[in-house]
Amino acid sequence: MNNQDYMREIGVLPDGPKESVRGYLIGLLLSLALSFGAYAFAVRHALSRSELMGLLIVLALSQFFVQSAYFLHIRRETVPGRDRLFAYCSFSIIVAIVVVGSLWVMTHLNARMMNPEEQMEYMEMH
Amino acid sequence: MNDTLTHEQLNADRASVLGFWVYLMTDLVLFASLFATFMVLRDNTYGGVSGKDIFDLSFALKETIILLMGSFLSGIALVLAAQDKIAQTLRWIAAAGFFGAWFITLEISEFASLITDGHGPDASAFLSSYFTLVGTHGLHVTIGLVWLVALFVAIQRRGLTRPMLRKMALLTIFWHFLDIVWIFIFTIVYLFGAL
Amino acid sequence: MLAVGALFAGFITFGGYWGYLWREWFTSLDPKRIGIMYIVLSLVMLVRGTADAGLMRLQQVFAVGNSSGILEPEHFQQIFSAHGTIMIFFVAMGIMFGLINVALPLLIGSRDVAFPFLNSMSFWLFAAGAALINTSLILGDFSRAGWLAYPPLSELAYSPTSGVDYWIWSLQISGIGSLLSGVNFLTTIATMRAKGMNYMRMPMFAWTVAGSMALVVFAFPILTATLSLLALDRTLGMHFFTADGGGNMMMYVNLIWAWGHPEVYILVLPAFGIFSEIVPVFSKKKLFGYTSMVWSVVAISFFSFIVWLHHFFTMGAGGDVNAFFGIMTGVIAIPTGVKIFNWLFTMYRGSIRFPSPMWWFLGFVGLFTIGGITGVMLSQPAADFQLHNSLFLVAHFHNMIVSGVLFGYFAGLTYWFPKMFGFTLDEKWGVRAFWLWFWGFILAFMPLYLLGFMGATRRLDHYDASLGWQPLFIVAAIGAVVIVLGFLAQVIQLFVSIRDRELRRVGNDPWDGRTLEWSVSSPAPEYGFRALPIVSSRDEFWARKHGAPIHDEAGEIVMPKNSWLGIAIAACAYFGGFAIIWHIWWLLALALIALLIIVIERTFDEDTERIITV
Repeated sequence: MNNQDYMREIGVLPDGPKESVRGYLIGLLLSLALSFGAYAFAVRHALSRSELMGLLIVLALSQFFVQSAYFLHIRRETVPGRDRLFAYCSFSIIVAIVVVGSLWVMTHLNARMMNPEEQMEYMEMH
Repeated sequence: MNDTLTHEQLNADRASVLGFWVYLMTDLVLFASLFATFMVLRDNTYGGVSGKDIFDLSFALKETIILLMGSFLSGIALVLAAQDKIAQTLRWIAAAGFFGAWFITLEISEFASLITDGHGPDASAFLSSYFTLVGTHGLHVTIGLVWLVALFVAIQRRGLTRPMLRKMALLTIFWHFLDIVWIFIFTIVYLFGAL
Repeated sequence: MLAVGALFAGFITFGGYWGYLWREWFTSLDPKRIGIMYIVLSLVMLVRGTADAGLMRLQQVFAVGNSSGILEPEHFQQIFSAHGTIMIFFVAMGIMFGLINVALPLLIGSRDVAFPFLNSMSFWLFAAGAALINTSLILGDFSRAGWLAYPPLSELAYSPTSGVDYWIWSLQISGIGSLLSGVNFLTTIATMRAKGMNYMRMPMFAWTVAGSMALVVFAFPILTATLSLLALDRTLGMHFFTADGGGNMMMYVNLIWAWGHPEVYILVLPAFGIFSEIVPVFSKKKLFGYTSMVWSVVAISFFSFIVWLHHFFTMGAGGDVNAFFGIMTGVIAIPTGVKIFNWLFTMYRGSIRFPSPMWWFLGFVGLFTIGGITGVMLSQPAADFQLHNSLFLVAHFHNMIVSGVLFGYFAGLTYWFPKMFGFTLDEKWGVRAFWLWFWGFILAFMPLYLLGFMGATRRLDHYDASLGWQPLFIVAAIGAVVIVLGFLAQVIQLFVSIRDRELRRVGNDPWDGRTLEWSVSSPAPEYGFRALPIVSSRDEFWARKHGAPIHDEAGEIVMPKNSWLGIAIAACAYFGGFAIIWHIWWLLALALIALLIIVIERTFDEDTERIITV
């Protein structure tokens, strides 16, 4: 088995050399565009703050998908690829739960914390 | 160019790729914890500087492009390695390493100037979480660079054997993954920070 | 402890056993050997954890009214912190990984795990963590901040001594070992199942290990991160959780429980898996409801990730947040109930035998159900506001861990003992041990439920005589004594069994088992299967015994060579941790450099296997 086939068999380079290089180039160009775009929007406040944040998240997620597809070759077809895709999706869910869950919990906790004046008053009374 | 590949060996190599992948996913959760901590503590500046004061977006963009180039170049190197073009492979690995080292140098200079200005990680919760999140990423990139050097030397000595190819593949996966994490650092830490 | 250790070391040295131990055990990459080492070390740590528990019970019997009991408050605080830390991290996790190592590869028809070297390294990292926490007995002190070390108490300002640092680094080091084991076992299940063993033909133990290891890889990175942040606060003066500098200590509580809740499911799922193996064998009937069992494992694994806030309802997130997490917590009781009913339905109309593993199972059914019900009570935020951090809570979680995790692991140890060593454990003493543990548990912990209702909080080192609590504490102390007797019965069981081992020798299938591990000799040969099995149904071994054709893959037997680098890496970790605790920076640098060299050396070593001819 030559190295080309080996790389395909272990699921690391599923395409031939020409397609792979093309894939990497597309990934690079799209990522550059998305990065520059995000930067451009961030320095030129055309939108409200929350709209801008939403847009930046969308751009970041897009680049995440671009790099996952073109650099990491995540796809469904082969058995090794399927296991990795499954792991990728499961972990993404967990990451979302940890991050969003923590933010939800912590903003609630912080909002309900007494401010320093209230704390002083409470301590004096008890 | 290699000896015969048994079914068990192929399975073992696939398992090696899957195992490394699962390990990388655990790193993802590690970063998620650090991201969550950063987002919770980003406004706790303790009267000191906030993101707006210290982040230079064009500098962050420069870092982003450089890291992206390193990630791209390592991918090309892998394609060349699969074609047994050893001399070119080594050149492109070196190029990727150069961009990675450039990235780290920039990051260290940013950290150093912040610290000398009195905005070190011990100054406030915001700064602690900034330094730790970005620093952990930088630490991973540094380990990747050490790995890259070791791999470079090993390929020089042993040629592009199957084990070398597999190890190189894992390194490129590592690098791509670090670039993905950086997308979110760039967005959530720097871009959001400057709003 | 030092004296016993020295005696043991002397015995090994003068018996000339070090060479044997080094070659056959310490440097072995055989999961069956690694598993036994995990179990032995965990049982040693169990002695320490139990001693801590005994001291706590004694203190609470005597520290009433004018008496301050037998311990100084600072000492008592170290003891309850050590008790919890050791029991969870160095007993439960250790026995779990031990049993998985011993049983999982054989159960799925494989000779080994996916990454044998990583396996050895994981064990030695576990040992390094245990060594570090034992070092705190000799040099310095231990943490006084409980088994989870909440800030700001665990921050430098309020815990200036080495104690919390020992806690952090012994957990960090063994935690890395656990994480790597999670990767290892998950990859093993994904890639090394026997030919023909698709996922729905896997033994249930393998399913529960898959669920548990998925939780390990999801949750342990959170622990790694959180411990690191606390360490950064303490060592480099950062402000994640400090009282000043803008730190938010509630974030620590949030993160540590985002790890902590999955952790308890990590421990209990394999215990459920053990019961799923044992009950069908001793009922001579296939497992009832295999598909629903699989789905309940998946459900339990997923839900265990969205309930963590129930550990801090009282921290003040408000009604909406508390309600969500409370409901999710209640829901998780459902798939657990499904499992219990399925085991009972398996027994129904089966041809049931009662060797001691079945007694552990029955004890579990009764006691764990009670504990589960108290858990549903606690899941209601309104009730939890009264019961949080009371002895009711302490009783609840000991109920789950002792009658769930521990009884399950004891059953597994008894069940797989002949496969590990070639002879069975004495049944008489096994059943005696069970009854002592069963009644001991009831005496030791039921009073705590009552005390919790009466207002007693946890970690009390003294209380007022007028409260009338002492009689219940006395009952609890008696219960602790009975448990210790149960543990002694197990020691006697082991002693008697070893003494009579020639009379107790068994062949490959002492229990009339259903799964593949019983098709190889007892103890299993190093290579497990001479020819790798090809599987065509669930309970493949049972099918073969009853007429199914046997198709196996003959082939070369390739096994890993021994390696001492796992020990070397763990030694670097130990010295590195020690160096950080005591601020010996040159030692840290040395340890890290050595670590780097060893890792690079091992990574590029291509001569790691040998062929066995049988």
